[in-house]
Amino acid sequence: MKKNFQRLYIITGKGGVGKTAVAMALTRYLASKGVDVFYNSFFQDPERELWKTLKLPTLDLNLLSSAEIYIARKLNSKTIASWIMKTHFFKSLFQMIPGLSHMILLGHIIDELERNPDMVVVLDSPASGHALTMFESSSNFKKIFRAGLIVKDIERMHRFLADKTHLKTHIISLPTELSMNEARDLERELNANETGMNFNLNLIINDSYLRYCKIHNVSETLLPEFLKNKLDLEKAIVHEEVVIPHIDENSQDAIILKMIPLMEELA
Amino acid sequence: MIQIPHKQVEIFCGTGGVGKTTLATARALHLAKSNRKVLLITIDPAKRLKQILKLPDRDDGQIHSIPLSLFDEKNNENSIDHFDAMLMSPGATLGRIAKEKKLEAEFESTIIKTLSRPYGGMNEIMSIIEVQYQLKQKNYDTIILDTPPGKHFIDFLESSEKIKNFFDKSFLEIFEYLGKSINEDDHKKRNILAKIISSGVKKLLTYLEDVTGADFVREFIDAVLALYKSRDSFLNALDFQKELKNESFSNWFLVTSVEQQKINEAQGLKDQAENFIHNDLYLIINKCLTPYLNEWKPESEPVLLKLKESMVTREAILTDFASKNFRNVLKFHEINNPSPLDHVVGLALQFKA
Repeated sequence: MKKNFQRLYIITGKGGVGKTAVAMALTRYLASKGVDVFYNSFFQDPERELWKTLKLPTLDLNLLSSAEIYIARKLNSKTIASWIMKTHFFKSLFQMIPGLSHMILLGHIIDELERNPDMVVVLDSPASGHALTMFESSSNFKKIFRAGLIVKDIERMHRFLADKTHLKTHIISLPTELSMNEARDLERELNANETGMNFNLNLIINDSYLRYCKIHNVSETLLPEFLKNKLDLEKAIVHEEVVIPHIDENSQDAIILKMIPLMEELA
Repeated sequence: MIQIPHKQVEIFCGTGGVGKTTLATARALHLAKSNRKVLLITIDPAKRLKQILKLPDRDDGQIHSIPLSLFDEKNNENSIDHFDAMLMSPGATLGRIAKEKKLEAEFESTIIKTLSRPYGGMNEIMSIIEVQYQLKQKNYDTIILDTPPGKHFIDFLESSEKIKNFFDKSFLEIFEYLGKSINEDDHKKRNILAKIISSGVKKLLTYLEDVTGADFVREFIDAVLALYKSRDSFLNALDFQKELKNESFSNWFLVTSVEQQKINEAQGLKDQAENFIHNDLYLIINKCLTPYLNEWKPESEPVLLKLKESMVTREAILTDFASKNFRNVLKFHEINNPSPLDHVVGLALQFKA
């Protein structure tokens, strides 16, 4: 059954486009199909309350603890890893190169996926910088590090991600000109990468009033001017992308619950 | 609208997608129209915004003049006919420091170049150094800083320890161990220090080499040494940070939007603002639909009525939260027009109203 699904889903996009909602809804959708799926977030302060409300299966790998576990595995010693992570030198290294800790976290997740062949992970990943640095950085770091365990690991990650049945990346955007342009820029940048990774990129339009009207059989002529404008704009810029309708709820858990059945196209 | 006093520095914070950069640009336009000399420092604006302002595509760290005529503003009796804008480039700011300190060669390192790219991890501190530098030039009445994306700018201001730690003495030990000189007159001390240095440094470097490779360790230490030699620029910026939080000196705008479910975000902004209270802190709720929703009467259509109600509720929840938790709340209504230029003009008018 699982062979229809990918091993890793990365949900990315600029701030405020609904990445977290989509990532959580997708996790719940996959879980409802019997997949052994876990949600993991790259955000510094993840929304643990919401995880509880939604009964979301999570990995909850934290950036710093993840780095410590990772280094312990590489050096075969938890004591040394914990000592290293406490030094100012290492702390500074991680602060100065934010992409480094994200890359280690990704490496950690891929480790888990390789150990557990049935496992699937949905990764909620901010684009303003970090997801991008993570991908960019893996090849950058290869240039910087050149030798050592990290480079071997980067190569292993690239091998895993080059398999097109492993990774699917969804860039979430709002149906506005600004948001779409930024999403397309991100798409171009990711496609231009030289890592050999197969991102399997999709552009997903979230919060569409046009789709809302279609689903609810609302005639556009009944709409007020400001909504008609939104719809016209959508028609002009949205073409073949997967579209998620606007959801007329006001709490985040209610929005996510209504989104779950719509996730088939993203799975 | 609340009267916003004029200050030397104005800072816009908020996550991406809330219209922060557009609002900061609108603010610059508004202040320029009020006859003030303005510099807008922005980082990573959307491409379209750069295009309409006729700014270069690359973040060049140069000052560009934006004529008010671009916004179709008739030049009235005011003597100011433009504002200046800069696309913040951490690399350019760092380059200036390198030149001042005569460290150009040391700064030619792959690691420092990676760090000083947008998102490279030095954005916040570089923005502060840039504001500080521009303020010293005394060319402007107001400098507007559109902060790097992410909601951690205030956090960053709170945690200057980060930078202090960076120049912590554990680095000194490593430099000493490797025989790198930091100051010319350090030679005498070195012998004593060399004895004190624990074997811990050597071990640490061995492990680091295992993980990252020996070349990296050498390059990283050289990069850190170069930064260390220019540390007073960074430590000065820390002192300047404190000034940024001074009420007589700065206005702060925290930006959120009703476009999406942003209640959590407003909560995040509130938590941040609690560490940082002065009277001229403004919460901006952007993209409000109230004026449009008030005129919309879909009473005969149950589906549309539900849609309207959910939109009204969303805005009411956010407004209610804002007025309970923030002294100054500014609501900006959505500009019902796709052109970014009209957005800037429309929002600037709302600053005036």
